[in-house]
Amino acid sequence: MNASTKDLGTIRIPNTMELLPAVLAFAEKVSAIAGFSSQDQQKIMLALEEACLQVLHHSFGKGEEAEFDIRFVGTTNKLEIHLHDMGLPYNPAEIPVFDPEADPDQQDLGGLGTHLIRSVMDEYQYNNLGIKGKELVLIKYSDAREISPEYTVPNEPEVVVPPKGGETPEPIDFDIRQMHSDEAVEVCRCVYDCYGYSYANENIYFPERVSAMNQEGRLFSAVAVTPQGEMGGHFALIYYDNLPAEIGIAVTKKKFRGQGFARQLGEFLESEAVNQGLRGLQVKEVTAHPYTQKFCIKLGYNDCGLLLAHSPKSLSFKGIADTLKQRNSDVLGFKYLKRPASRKIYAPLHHRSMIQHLYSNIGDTVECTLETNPQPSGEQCVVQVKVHHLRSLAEMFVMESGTDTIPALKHEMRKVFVDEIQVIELYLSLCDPMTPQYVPQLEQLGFIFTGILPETAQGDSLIMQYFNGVHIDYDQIVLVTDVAKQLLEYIRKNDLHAG
Amino acid sequence: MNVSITDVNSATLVIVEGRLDTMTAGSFETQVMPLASVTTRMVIDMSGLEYISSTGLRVFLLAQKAIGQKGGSLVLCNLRPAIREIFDIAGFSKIFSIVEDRESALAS
Repeated sequence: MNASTKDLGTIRIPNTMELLPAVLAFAEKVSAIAGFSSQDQQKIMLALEEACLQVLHHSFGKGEEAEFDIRFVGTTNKLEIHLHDMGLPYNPAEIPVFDPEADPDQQDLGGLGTHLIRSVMDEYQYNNLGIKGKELVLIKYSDAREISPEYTVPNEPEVVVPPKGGETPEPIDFDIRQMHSDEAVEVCRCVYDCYGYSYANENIYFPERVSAMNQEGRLFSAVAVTPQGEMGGHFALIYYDNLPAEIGIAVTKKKFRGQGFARQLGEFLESEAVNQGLRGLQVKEVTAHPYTQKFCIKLGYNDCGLLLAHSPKSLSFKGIADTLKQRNSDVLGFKYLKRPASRKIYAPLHHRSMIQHLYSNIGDTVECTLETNPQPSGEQCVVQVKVHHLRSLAEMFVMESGTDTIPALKHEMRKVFVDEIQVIELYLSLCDPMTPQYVPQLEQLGFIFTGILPETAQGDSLIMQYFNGVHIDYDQIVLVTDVAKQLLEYIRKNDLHAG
Repeated sequence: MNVSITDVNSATLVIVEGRLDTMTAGSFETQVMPLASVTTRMVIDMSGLEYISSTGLRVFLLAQKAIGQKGGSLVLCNLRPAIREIFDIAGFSKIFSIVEDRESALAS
């Protein structure tokens, strides 16, 4: 726990109802102290009540006496509630999925509690920890000030295109450095200047969240500032639990396009990443236009995958591609900061050639192998699911394989589709000999292989995607490199829904 | 949680106040369901209801089904915004008759 997070208390209670009111009263008090409005306090209490009921109803056998923990963690701008139990193993078949559209005569409200939790909390994570039990994490952000009340929207839309050849703006000597905490509001204004309110990561529009994320070590923001103190642009390192750090949120104010400080910011961040001991960085490059991809090539990032339909349609680029015709797809780029040793990976046979091609493209050497009779790590798989409602995207990580991996993934799919999540991105470890077994089964379910990514929490990962009611118009995707184009055609061939 | 029950214009008027959660929903069910099984018109005034969870929502659905089976009507009124939001999330706003005030509910 770092200096800006605070342990607000841990309660261990028996698996009975009697102490539930006390737990909810504690939660109400904690959330009041954390600065939440009375409406949000009620939502937190509701989510916690439903989560406790889930534990009480599903985690323990009849008559079993046990305990479970509820831990409250506060940060500058959010409250996390961690429920951890060592109860019954996760059985996907026993947890119903609530459908609010069901015929009232057929409605039995099974799964309503989970549905309420997801609806009233800002984020949630659920982790099956195998022999270490289960954990549900509920996250609520406190009310934050958006930039809009203080920012004047231009009366006329400014249409700006990247400078044509021969046009060189008057050079400005920008100061390239880490963002100061009180500059967060200017960073938010830069993002608005570039994206309007369409940037899919909504946290970037809240100065308090940007500042908090930097303080908590989830973001490292670098800025370019003119000698007169005006913010020209921003670029950041974004840290994840399960994925390599990402270099992203690159924005340049329209008036400063062509100054070239984005590259300096990128180099500054890479130097910082090396100092932090990071072994590599990922980057997501939009495909609505070629400029980001060209920029990342110059920074030394090479393509290792595609994240199709990764961002919602609302993501636009003021002055460059104002109206997107479909969900935005990203090229996934990677750059090693520290070259790893050559190693073996368990790649499915039918994708081996493309996988090796992608590794070669990022300058890596791997030996693909298969086990003749692979066994899962244990009885129960460990799957982490992160749902990003604003993006309509769910990320699933198979941390450990089990005999129940495929049924568990099927159940997680059902749950996110009831929430109308459009895209699943699934990460399977290439260090797990079971992965080549799972890939064909997942393809039978409709998943498509779309790339690889090194330096994930599971080692190297193979990426698969599933699209729920999303049609990919492959012809609309703008790609720069030959490798990306080859991968796109490879994916299109395997996509049964492709035109 | 408090429940008061009266008859108004041949309708059963239920006024519920406080919290309908796991601890109190059972009592609400015990008081409402016998009425739901015999009445053909029920109005539930929720102006004093501060909080509801899934166990409370379940009782509303049970009451709706019981009254509906007899061709009767259940009308909810005076939902606070926070309660209305929970009804919306659960999809209940589409399956329940919800009006602004008690007078409209009793007249419907």
